[in-house]
Amino acid sequence: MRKIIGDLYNRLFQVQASSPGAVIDYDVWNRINEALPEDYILPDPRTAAELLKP
Amino acid sequence: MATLKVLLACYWPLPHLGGVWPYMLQLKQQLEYRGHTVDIFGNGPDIPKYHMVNQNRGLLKDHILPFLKVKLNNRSYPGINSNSWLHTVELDRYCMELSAAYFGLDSYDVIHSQDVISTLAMSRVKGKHTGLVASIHGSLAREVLYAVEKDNLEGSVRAKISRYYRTLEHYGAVSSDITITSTEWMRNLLIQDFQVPAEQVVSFPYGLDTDTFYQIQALGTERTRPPGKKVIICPARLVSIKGINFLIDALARLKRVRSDWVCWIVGDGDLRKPLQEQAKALGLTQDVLFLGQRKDVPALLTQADIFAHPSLQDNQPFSVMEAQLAGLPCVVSNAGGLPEAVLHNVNGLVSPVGDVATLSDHLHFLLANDESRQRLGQHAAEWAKEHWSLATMTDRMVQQYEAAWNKAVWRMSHA
Repeated sequence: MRKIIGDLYNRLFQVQASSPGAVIDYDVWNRINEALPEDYILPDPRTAAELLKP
Repeated sequence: MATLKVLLACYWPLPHLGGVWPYMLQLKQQLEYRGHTVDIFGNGPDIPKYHMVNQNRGLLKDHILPFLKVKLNNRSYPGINSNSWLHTVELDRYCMELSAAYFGLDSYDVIHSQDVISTLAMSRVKGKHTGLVASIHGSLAREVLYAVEKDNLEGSVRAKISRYYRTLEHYGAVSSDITITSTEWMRNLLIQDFQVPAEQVVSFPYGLDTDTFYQIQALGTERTRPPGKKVIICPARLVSIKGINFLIDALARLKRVRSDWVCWIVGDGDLRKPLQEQAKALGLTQDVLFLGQRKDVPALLTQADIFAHPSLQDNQPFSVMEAQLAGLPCVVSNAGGLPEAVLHNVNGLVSPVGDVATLSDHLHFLLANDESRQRLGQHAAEWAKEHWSLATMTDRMVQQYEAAWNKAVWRMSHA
């Protein structure tokens, strides 16, 4: 298993904060990243907006 | 007609108890018989993973969830982290999205999701060229609402959970090209309560795999009806939504006027022990028998005289369809879509949800009147043969797949 730093996939997240300690499996995440639509974003803005309400 | 490559997707663990899993299996079989290719994708039944069930391929959630927890942390996303239950659900559905991407969706013509969560997930990760058909088998938001009402949660927490699931249900049901329900009740609920456009929702009933049913029935059962007694049978998951406690209360009332019956409760679930204690407290230990989860339900139905189903909420339960096919009159509540399958005084008797006295009276009436019981049972069998055709359901489903696929082709040509 090849480990890489998770920050390489920051483009998937709405808030692109650095997480220096997070390492992930390259083969898994590279495959996921290549398959996702270009506009894919985490979290889902629709439910995230609902969850922000008190 | 083109042959299609179809992915059946489900958020719930596969395989699982309940009707959705057998529905998926029989649909797969029927579609493959017609020349289509079908895969099944869903949550793992034992260890935390998502898997392509028929391909024996899985992806452990450990590859995804720890990283999501780091990235979607409380500092960056306080909303998602504001409630531990919702945090778990939210991250797990993202895990489903990323797992689906890992397995790859590009080769599918149509994805047929089986619930609002998988519909939302698939809509976010599939390509434009793939059609999305959603079957909504029940109202998740309403079921969760029933569940949280029983918990002692603060009002604001309950409201938040309720709002979240309503959001899931709305966006889940509108994210597909076509949304399918098996009852008009579910269709109207989506349109009226969850603001799903009426033109998006198509309704037609489930079918029943009668060949398999008759094969299992022919194997028989070691259990026989007690001499001199009639059998009331209730096959159901023992969970609160099924309202078995109302049936037990009704049986206690029934016992005061007659004792020429026993009730077989067939199934398992979290409420088994409390329901057994309820029966014991009401003096029904010898009258209400808990048979547990069984594989011989079609054969047990041949030993029974009356089918009972007192649900708080239901759509189109397979247990009702099977009981009708076995020629049993159905004594049901008027929850959800049940009155669309059971017509009062035609093929069964319908009482208001939670109305123990009427439920008890209906059981008493059918025990006392052999002619009525047999007439309603015969009508139930005729109804089943006329309405629960698996071939018809599959034909209708393929039509919807083709319509969704055509929408996807149109999308691609206008991209």
